[in-house]
Amino acid sequence: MVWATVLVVIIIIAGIAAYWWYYTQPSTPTPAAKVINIAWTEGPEFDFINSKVSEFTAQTGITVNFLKIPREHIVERLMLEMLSSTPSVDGAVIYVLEAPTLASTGGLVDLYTYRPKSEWISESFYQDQLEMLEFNGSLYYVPSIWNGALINFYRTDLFSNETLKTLFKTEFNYNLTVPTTPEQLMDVARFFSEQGYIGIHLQLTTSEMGAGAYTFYPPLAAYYGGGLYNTTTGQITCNSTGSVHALEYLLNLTQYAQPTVLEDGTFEAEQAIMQGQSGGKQLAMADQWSYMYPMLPNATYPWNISERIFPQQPDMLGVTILKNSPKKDYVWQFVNWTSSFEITKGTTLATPKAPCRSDVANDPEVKANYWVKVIVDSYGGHKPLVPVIKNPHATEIYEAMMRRLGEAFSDFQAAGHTNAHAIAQEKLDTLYGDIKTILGI
Amino acid sequence: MRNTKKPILSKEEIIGLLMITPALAVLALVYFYPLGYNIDLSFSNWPIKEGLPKYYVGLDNYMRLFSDRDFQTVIVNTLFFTALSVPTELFIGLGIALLLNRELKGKTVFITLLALPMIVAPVVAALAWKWLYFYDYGALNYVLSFVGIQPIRWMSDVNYAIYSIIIADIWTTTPFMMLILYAGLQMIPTQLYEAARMDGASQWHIFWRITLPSLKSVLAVALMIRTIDAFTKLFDIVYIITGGGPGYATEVLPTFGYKEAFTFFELGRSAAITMITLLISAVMVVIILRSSRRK
Amino acid sequence: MSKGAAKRILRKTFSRLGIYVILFIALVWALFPLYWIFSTSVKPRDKILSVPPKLIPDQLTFENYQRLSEVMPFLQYFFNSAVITGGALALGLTIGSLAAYGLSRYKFPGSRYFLGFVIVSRMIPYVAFVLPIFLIDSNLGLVDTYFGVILPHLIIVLPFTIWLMKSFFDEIPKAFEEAAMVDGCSRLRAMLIAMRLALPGLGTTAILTFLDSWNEFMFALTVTRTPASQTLPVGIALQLQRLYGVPWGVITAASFLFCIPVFALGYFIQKYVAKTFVLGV
Repeated sequence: MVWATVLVVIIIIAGIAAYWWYYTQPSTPTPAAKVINIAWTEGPEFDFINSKVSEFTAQTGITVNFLKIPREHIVERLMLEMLSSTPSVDGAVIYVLEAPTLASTGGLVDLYTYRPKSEWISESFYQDQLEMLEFNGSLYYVPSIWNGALINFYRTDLFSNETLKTLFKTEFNYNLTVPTTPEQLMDVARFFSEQGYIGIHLQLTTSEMGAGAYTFYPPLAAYYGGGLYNTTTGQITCNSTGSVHALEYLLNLTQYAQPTVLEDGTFEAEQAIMQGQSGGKQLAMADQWSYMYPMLPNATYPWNISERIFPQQPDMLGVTILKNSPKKDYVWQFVNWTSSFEITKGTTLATPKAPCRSDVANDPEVKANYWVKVIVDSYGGHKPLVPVIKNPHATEIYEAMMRRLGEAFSDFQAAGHTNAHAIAQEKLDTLYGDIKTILGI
Repeated sequence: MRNTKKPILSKEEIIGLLMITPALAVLALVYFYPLGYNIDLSFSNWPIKEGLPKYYVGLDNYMRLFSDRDFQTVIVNTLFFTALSVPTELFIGLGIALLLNRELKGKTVFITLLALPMIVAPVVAALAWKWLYFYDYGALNYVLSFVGIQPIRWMSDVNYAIYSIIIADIWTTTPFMMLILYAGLQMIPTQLYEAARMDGASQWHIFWRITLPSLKSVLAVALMIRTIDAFTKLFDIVYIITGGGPGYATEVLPTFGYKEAFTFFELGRSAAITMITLLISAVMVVIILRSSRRK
Repeated sequence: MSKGAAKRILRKTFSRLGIYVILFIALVWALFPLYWIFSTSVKPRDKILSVPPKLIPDQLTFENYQRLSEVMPFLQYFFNSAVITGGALALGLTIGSLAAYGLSRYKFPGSRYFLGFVIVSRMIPYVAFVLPIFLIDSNLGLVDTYFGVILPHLIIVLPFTIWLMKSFFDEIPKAFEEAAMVDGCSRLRAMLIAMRLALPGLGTTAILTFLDSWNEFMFALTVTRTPASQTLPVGIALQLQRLYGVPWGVITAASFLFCIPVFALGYFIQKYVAKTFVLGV
């Protein structure tokens, strides 16, 4: 009886094994059709490129299949593709935070092998943006698809209101202006908060790299001489004096911001600006994304934009080439095309963002737009872009940072908006331990 | 005299085996193989991030998980969630089932409509509740304001986030309890009730001594299924509503396992997490089965 | 009428009323989120977000439904979902019922282990299956095909079918087939007759597994790449995760349409589902 069971099981397993073996024989290579599959994300940039891609096909004879994959799942898909024996994604749009992890797997192609760095620079690509995306001296993509800048939005009517101006002068002894320094920002935010407005609407979210984390805190820490983790020296700098001071500043600022973190980040921020209010209070200023600029005329209240006071983290999306694709060269042509002058100019104008080439930034048609100067000055212009952590464990480190910052905000609120320094120190010390565990040191 | 050899397998047994063969083949491919793959993976470390191949580390993943504060939080969250959700669903489901267990007009309509939350896709349910939970734009805070409750940061307040998940989940699965218990109630012969009433038993008495014991086995099955599901199938709701946040406040076993694999590329750890989930579910099932048999 | 009788009738009426009130409250609780999705889908784009939220939309529009096909290949997604769920059910129910019949009627070595494994399969989070299934699909060249999604859906359909149908078959006494054979039916015919008796059970199983497959998200997401095989839950997630400018009106419209086949089945589901599990005890 037992034997018969064993026999049946063996037959079944043998059958499956045979089927498997048959199908995993490398299939006879089909003539490399000039078709490439690019994993893509939805958005106005996509629509623009989609409308132009027929020109690319006409020029090169390469057909592009856009595989639309939900943004948050692209990394998962790429990892699966890398493990697969029959990959069918040739290129993908990836995000700056994902790049170090993906790059270190060895699954991406170094663009410098197609064109050396000196040529990229002579092609008028911004050197600091290139270096932002370099990982161990290799470049994995250029920010040709998205290069979003955070800029300062302010209510023109409030800043020119005579009553408010007088009140401000009385309290602070200087004229009310759109702030250009951190101290001014704190004063102005506090003033408007006292007057019953939301002093500044901050990009603090739980769902997108959380709690003011990625977009606000690391560049702030860098501004004050701190940071999180220095990839070059291998030092954890998250609880250095500069970093603590930065968090202290941020905590103090949040009391003049909207009450707590946003729940759905960008979407709510957009609505807050368009409707000019959040939680029942009107907004006086907002630290938000450049793409919102063309929407302002339709907003309930009058807004304008000014240069952001603090340095920025890069917010970049671009096309990368997967190493196990047999059509690498075709994808390179596509990369080249999407970062060409015409296309870059098109995507930059499609939604206000920072161009990745200076020839686009200086093009008369582009320059004629008011927002170009504001964005270029904010995004690496007057202050350097702050590099991301270039370590395969970057994602985990940012997630840990997000957690501790969230806890710091909660503690600060619970303490009645006092004790910022002590809270900042404590949480950053804990973060230090977190990062040590993540890096295994 | 000849020895007639006993056949190794009777004709019956062969037929039976043949009948399960197709199912067995498919399951071998889509279930047993992945299961084995996961067990194997849980004992290894696969440093994809460094582009290196897999190697074995024995129980290392498990040991590190158990001493990991985050994992402990995740387990506590999952247990807390289960401890709150399942009994609540049971009570509400039982309550409504009891109410329905009478002659009522339009009962079918009621039951069909009340069953809708269970039928709707988890993705859609999660979306609906996410919309309700928004601080400013959500209907929940708006409705609560009518009874004087201050608006709550459902999804981003560390203290309330877990309740947002619990409430959404209760909404989704109470109909399941309700339907099962209702069917169980329908199966109780009316003679039992009549006899008790003739003996002058009070409503309460009837409930405790007759209704509840008759429902015992049904309750056990419902409890078992729901508890297992609370541990293994909580993914969609948490993923869409809070994403596990803020911090680790709403991180539960399924989402944690998913994140470890597909955001952090820690495949070995993720496999260990799913194995531990399996273990915990099995333990809970055994506990429930044992206690239902003892009573 | 005596005072006592009148009092009792009054009390009965009140308790009746009370029951209806409670049920009504439960109904509101159950339906409000669904109503909210529907009302969002019929609001014009600029009215969707308002502070305070409008419970009853003051402007009705069907523009979101009209825009549906512009924003995503809705009909294609819907069709894919239908084919994949149909395929998974066809395959899973056939193979599963066969196996269940075998388990119920025949004693063979390993049958108890098989059943045990089937029940245990429910205890494993689907997350664990994602990577191996992707590798299997990828090695078999099934990525972005209907069958590639049907295969992982069988993980959901098969064990459940086997477990359920076995208990249905167990309900039909073995003597039944023996009697049929005495009457001159072949083994096969007797089996077919038994299967016909278990049809209601099959219907129940079909409805429940339909739900699980139709609403499934994770596997469909992993093994599909293009609208050639992507299902509607995946399509909805795609729109949800745009970089910015999430089209809430369209998403809620798609969600609502997605649930309609399911609503239609609602009546049948509620009738069968409960009986199912009770028999499984």
